[in-house]
Amino acid sequence: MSERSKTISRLRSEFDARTSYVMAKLSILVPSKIRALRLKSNMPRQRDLANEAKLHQSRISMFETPGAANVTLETLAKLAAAFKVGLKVEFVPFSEMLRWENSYSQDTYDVTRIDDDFEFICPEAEHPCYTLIVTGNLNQTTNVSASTTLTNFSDGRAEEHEQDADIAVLPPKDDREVEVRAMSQPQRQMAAAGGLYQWTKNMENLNSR
Amino acid sequence: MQNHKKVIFLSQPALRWSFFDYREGGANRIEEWYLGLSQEGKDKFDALLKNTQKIDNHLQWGGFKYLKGKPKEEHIWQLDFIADKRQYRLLGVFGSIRKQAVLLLGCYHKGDVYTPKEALETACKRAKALREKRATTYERKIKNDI
Repeated sequence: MSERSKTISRLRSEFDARTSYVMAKLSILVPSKIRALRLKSNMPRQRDLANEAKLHQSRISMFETPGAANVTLETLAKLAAAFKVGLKVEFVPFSEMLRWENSYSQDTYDVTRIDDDFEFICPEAEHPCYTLIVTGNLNQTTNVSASTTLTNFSDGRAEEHEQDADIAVLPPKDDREVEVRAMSQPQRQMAAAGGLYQWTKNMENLNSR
Repeated sequence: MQNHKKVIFLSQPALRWSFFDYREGGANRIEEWYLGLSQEGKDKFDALLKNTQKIDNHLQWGGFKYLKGKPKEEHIWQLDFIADKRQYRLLGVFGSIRKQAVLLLGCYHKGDVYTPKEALETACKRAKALREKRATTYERKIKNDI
């Protein structure tokens, strides 16, 4: 029995194993996200974030320590308010949690602030829409970081990601085109070798989607 | 409808960090320590390395700092994480090859006391043993499928 099979068996049968697994992912990724947002914000020092969130600096330091688990929803809401972003807590399948972990990168993680969130502020107006066309024989996964993306695959599938997530664009099996549409300026694109990448900017009325 | 093309930028995927366990006399000291952790400790340690390997600049690793005093002479750093209500410390050094980190020792810390209490001295000895090639390393597998 492989180590993975043993872990899966344990997760399926033991409450404590599932709790530990979920807690481990959350308690590493949430502090990392707080750190990422702080470093990319206009308050890169913990002291400045603490002032904005009305929290003590030592607590910010603790929240950013990997493994720190005692962050309440109220505290997360205060941090979200300080960063001027929303917050979503969801129950998801284990597969989705693993995908979330694997596609996350502290370096590329960022969230559109309310002042730049045109879809929220003024949904009727025309806004820039960025389109990434990926063609060619890709040999590995490409990560695209954007606030809201719509991925159209040439086989007709479409996936919408409404969060700040890094979108993992899987390499097409042949020379098919993969299209990723982002409603805000994509932050960073990790391009894989062997493919052609081109962002196209155009204007779109959000209601026409 | 306004249309214009804009090429953002092309880059190769960032090279991830690799983590290596300290080994001496055939014994993997990090794996020995890992196996003694609780399930929570193991899960958090695994998740920590999985996340940290993707952060390009080590100064932006959560819980990272260079140590002062004698460990500083050996360029030893510390990576913190919390599990089982303990402040765990991973002590390590960077390898001679870019983006390689060697884990020398795992311990925990309360007040000013490390457990085991000779943790810093041991880390210094291990760093020296590595430098003098009296010890070896073993790459730690980071699992993406679980």
